[in-house]
Amino acid sequence: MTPAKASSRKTSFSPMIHSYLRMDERFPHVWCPGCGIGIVFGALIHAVHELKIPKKKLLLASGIGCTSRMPGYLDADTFHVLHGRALAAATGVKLARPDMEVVVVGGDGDMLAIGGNHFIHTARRNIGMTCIVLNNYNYAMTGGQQSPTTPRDMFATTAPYGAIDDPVDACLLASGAGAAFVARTTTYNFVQLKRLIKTALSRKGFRLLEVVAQCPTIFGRLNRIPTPKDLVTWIKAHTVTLEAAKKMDAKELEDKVVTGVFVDREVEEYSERYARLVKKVRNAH
Amino acid sequence: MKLKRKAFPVTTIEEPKGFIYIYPDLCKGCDLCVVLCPKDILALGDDLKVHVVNPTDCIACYLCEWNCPDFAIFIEKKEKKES
Repeated sequence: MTPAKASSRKTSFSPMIHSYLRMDERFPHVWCPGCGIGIVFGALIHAVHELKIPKKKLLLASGIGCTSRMPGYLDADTFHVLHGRALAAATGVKLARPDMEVVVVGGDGDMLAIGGNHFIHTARRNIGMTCIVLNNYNYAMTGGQQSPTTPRDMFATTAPYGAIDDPVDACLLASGAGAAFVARTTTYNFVQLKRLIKTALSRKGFRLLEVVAQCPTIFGRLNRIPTPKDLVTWIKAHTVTLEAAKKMDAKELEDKVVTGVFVDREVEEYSERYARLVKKVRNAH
Repeated sequence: MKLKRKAFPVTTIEEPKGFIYIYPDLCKGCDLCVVLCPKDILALGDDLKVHVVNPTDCIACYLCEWNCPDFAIFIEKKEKKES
């Protein structure tokens, strides 16, 4: 088939997403063809646009990694800090400027391995921020080493005979630490992804959203699923909803990703408690 | 520092339900939009960029726009004519 000819009719169209991006020499972005990070980035921009959060009230913080390249492309207040310390830096921003909408993005290595301690304690203190953890099952930027979330018997460059460790569950970790909102979704389901980001942005306290994203270049290649289309189909085949998972036994759920909202509760935000304490101490003197 | 926006070339294709906009400089040819399109209107060309091959079947479902990781394809729906 021959490609359709370009229309001669000119329309003044500029995409909404492009108005949120630093569309200069940075583009096209560094992520590999078919990478899931771009889809999550698009969903985040859609959610911010639909909730009408002004650019001056939005802060995107990140550490080091593939996912953490995201703030470099967003035309808002952004913060790119040390490896794993994005949550610690964002805590400072939130306490100094409680009116800011703080969003922290990071990969599984950034948030759960080197930043694991910050992750637990930010969830415990319920500091008001949205944390989006992109789980692509390996350390993609440094060449595909085994990460804390690599499933059993999957391959990585440091696990050439298959991983023998059990992976960590970010959602269980956050709900155990006391986060206000915990949910998981995949890049395959854009509508759910956008809806969950919108829900997370409108809640108080620490909100965790884990997104299972595809990494075709390294994780897919090492595990013989090298094309983006096969990898998203693989993710879809391994996904079960929370309702369906309740009817399945542990053996069936062994290699499955459970999606849905795990925790959704009302909490008092840390910055409110902090502001109250500051007021109390100031009045005492 | 003020942002110096760069204008990327855009290909506009008109179809019955609206317009398809493709930014060839941003497309990396990952094939996701081609796979997810329910009506098979897109295909990768020899230049590894996405092309519209069958514009009359487009139903403007936005799946290609939402699932494009490179922000390279967009759909604009035509406003319905008031009858």
